[in-house]
Amino acid sequence: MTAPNPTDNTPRHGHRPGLTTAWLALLVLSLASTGATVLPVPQQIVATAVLVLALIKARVILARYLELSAARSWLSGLSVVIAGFFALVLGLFLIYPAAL
Amino acid sequence: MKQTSGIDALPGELLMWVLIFSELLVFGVGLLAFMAVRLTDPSGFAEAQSALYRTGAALNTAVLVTSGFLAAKALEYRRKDRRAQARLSLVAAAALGCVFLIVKGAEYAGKAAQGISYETHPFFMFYYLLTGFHAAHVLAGVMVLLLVAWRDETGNIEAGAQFWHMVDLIWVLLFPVVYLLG
Repeated sequence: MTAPNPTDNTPRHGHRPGLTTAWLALLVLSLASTGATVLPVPQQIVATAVLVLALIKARVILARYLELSAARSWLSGLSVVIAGFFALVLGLFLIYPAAL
Repeated sequence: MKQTSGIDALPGELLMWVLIFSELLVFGVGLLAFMAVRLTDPSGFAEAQSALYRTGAALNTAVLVTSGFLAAKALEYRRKDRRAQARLSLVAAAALGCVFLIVKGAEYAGKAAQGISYETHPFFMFYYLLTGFHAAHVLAGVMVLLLVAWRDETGNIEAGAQFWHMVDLIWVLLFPVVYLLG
């Protein structure tokens, strides 16, 4: 019997644990991001919350749907790039919130 | 056992990843341009955005992530040689893609009925450009899903599902920026 190699990061063919959990998480996160926009809190907080939730959603899709959970370095790298993108979006938004 | 690193560590088709990176770059630049132009008229952008149908867009988010789940399940089924279930999942994923397009079409029809076009305000130019380009990808994705349901080799389904997840991922980036940041 061959022992599993902990450094082997090729995708596991067959059952993909967490797929249903990922789907449910995406639904809840989507509902939360839409719901956040009607909360009676400052726009800056809503924008930050919405973009953080979107970043988590993107990471779930990358990790579970696109199977990057089996390629951790790529998952981390892409997560950083998307986080950078949302940080730029947030920065551009916070320069002039619409309420001003 | 062979260890993988670098590009070899990427699951699925390398060319699909090149496409995914390219599309993320294109939409990312488009969304940043949208946010930059917004600086010239933040209140006008907010007023224009208030004309959007957020509930419909939120519904479409649920539709798309559910469709992505079905595409991922299809690959899981195919790897277990459960071909009928894989095909059924792909057709269901494609059907939800059609639901997305119907909701999007209703959204566009509603805007047209209100006399809103891409010329109404710069917001709507970006809105139609970004969401229209994404909808074109959804349409292409529906055809890809049906194609790989027919030619259901594991590699084909893997590539088709990757394309569909890319469409899903782009929507996750686009939806909050265009619809929610007011």
